[in-house]
Amino acid sequence: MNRDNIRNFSIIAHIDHGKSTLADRILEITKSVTKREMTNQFLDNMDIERERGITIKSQSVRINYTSKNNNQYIFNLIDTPGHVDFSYEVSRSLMASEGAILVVDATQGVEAQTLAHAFLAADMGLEIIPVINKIDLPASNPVRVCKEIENSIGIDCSNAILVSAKTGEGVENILEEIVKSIPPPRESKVKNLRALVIDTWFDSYLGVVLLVRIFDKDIKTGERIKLMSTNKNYEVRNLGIFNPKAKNISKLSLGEVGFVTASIKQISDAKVGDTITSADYPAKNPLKGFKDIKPMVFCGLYPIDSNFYQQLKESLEKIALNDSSIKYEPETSAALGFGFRCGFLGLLHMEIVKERLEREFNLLSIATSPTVVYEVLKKNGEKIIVDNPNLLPENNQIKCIMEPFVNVSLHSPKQFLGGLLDLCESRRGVQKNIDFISEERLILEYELPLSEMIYDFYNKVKSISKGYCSMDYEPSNTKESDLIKLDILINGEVVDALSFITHRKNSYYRARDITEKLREIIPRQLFEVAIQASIGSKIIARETVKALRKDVTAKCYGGDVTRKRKLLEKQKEGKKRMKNVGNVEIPQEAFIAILSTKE
Amino acid sequence: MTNKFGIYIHIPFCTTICPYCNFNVYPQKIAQYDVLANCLLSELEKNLTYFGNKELASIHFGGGTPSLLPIKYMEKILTMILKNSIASHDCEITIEINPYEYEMQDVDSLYDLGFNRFSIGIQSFDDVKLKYLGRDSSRRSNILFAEKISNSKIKNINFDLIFGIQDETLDTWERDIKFVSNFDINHVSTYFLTIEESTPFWNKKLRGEIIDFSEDLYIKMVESTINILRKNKIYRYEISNFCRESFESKHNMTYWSNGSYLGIGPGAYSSYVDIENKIYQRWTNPRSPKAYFNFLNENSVSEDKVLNSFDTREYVKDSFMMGLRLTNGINIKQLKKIREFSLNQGTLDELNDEDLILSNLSNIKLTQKGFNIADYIIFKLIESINFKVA
Repeated sequence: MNRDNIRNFSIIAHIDHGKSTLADRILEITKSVTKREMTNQFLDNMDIERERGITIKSQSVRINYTSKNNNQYIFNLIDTPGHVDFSYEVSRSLMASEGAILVVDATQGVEAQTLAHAFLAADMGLEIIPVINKIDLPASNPVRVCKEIENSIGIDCSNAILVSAKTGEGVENILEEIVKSIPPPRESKVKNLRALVIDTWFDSYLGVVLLVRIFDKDIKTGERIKLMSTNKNYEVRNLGIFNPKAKNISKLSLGEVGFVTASIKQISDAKVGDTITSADYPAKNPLKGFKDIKPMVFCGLYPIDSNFYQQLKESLEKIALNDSSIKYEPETSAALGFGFRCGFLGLLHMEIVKERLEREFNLLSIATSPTVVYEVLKKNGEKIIVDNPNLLPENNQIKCIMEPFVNVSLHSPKQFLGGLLDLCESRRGVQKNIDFISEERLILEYELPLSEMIYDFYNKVKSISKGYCSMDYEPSNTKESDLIKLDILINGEVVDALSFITHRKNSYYRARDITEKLREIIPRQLFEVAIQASIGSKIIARETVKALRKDVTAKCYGGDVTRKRKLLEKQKEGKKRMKNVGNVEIPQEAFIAILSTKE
Repeated sequence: MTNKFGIYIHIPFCTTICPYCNFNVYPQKIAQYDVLANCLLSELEKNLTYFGNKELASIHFGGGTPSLLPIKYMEKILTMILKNSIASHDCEITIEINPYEYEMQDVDSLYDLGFNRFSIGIQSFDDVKLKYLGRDSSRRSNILFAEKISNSKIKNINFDLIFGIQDETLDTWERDIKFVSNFDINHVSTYFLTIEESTPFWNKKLRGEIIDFSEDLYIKMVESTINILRKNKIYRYEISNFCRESFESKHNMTYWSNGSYLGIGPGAYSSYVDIENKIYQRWTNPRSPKAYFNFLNENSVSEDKVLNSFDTREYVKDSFMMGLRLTNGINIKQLKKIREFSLNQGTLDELNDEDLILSNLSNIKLTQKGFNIADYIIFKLIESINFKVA
């Protein structure tokens, strides 16, 4: 196919604005999938993706399109993940495209990720086609939404396409517009192969699969290639495209998008954003923008039943096959035994992994409270990295502790401004900017410590704004803070898995909050359970779980056997999620309770 | 125990439904006793043969308010039962009676019909308590009825009492329980008021009008009950049941010892145990009278029994669940003959050390302290069962 007839584009949207539904409709209208094959949200493969309505791994699909003036085109629709934790992946998908369809919900308007992604696309020089979705809904207001896009992003919306991805109305206009306004892949001035790795995953038949976009020259089966970030060489085994089913071809040419398999053993060797070049005739420079992304949030993962350590290890290995952003290393805890210190891109990423362990691997695990990565400068001049509160040196050895900060942008109707300001201030935030994008909506920008953002910040934002505020964030830098380690003691014993690092001025409040919460979570036992919070040896909060005094069913006759038996089963299920710390039974939720705060 | 069985007959209607009751009951005004009686008779005819190899130890008319069933139907039912089963010579035949709905002459006719045990829903001798519980009786009417029945030729009488209502003091309850000694009866059931889901009291609780009863006061009330009744030679034999020596309710003992029983009527439960042939089945009738009538016309009981067949492990666990409610506890040796198992010694030691159970090689029983947290202990013990592979 002639390069001029190729169009590479992404769809960008805020979560729930209808990106996946629009992709479904495009596949259907271009007859890429038959009605019968169509499961809703074709591109979202994982169960969790479909259930949570978010895309975690990106996909790409080749579509054949015949335009109204009867020309043949190849469209490569490159999917983008839709959550704040995955913004680097989004940037790689965008880099592989010449244009982006910006989908905005006609009932919701511009949201945080709309803006974040649109700016990213504009920065990369992509042609942006504004699309107003969900016009079939009675509450839709395309005129207002267009104005918001113009005011906040600064793109002309006079030709915005109005569609309903659900009913299919207007979707054909998008296809024509793609032909008209998105440029074909640019010509190459470089003589050697350069291909961008958009995404990678592990397939049990094919091994490591790389989704690539060819920027220079072409790639053929059997060719020897090099991954430029690692300098390792491989031989291409299979090339192919998704149509939308995988189909092998022998060559991927300039401008095309497809998959490559080579003799790559480990997913960690195939990094998103890396450049593939020829091993024999390597390009001088890689494509721009590669970053070796590092986990931002760490927690300990432990099997509830210590006999399942090996199984947890194998499950994490399997998850990591497909998810190069998760990091894990063995660690031990006095309270929880053998487990792993795991690093994630963000809190959602962590929750997804935990959920996958439970669902796909049938493994119950305990996650300790998440922590960010601290840099500790010791008095002896040594600098250490701390991703586990228990590895924090003794107080008298510490010169200072540095913690990572993020820039958060909140998009909200103006009436929630007060609540959002209070929240950001209480989280040690420094205000950077307030901007009105329309009479009704504003953008609030704050710099916050990441550690403040990972506990219950997003939930709080949602509840303050009744769900109307959206959020995006990006790392800024690290700064010194007055931080201390807070320990939790159960019946006098420090439970290492419950320790966390917090700012000194919040420590009393957090200590009270967490001890109260643990009192509610820890079930009554035969003896009294004391819950204490301490900084060093100083106890700063205490709660007591009273000993169990009464637990008895008054009436129990023939018919109650069934009822009792069900109750017993339920109790047994609950018990599975308990961990014995000393002689106290602590439910799984206790270890995550530190995350959420009182209303 | 397994060569005997009991029959339970459920009469699911009441003139007024008490605000704390979550039993399978319906208002009296929708009652069609002729239809119900026909169903009960046909169910008996069909199912009694299933228990044909067992001796009938007890019949219990419960509800609802079983005394609302016209006496001619009672007679038919009893006749049907006695014709189609082998009743033991001391077969216990009980009926539950509300004091305010019955005259003594009716009790006499029931006695003449063969009823030999009467369980009276006194609930309290305190007008404030009775009113709170939504009972149609008063202190006066309860005393009158209690006097009459305890002075009659009927010797096997139970009083049901309730304690632990909102704001009840130890004193109020002690007065109730002491008052029992005025009457010549040999069985008392004392039920701690449980706020059950989907009852008017539950809604009160949701509205904050009922708060959790003090656990310390509960414990004191139970201690008082035991001490006061003991002076009267009435002893605790189950968590909520007290009797004079050898006057345990035979029928209820069947439940607690995990024996066989045939439940007749809407929502009634049945259990069939045949240790020798390792058969353990439980089944339930449809709950609403209408569904029950339809079900009987469709004739599909036997299938249900197959569906609810359990193995001997379940039998052992259920025996723990019910049997540990008895002050005598359970016979471990006998249960092990049915299915070999061991108990976690650590759990036993912990519970023994805490003075919650008394155990030896052949028997486990809960202590008085243990009974206060019986559900917790029973769960722990069942969890600690380790079955040998069959």
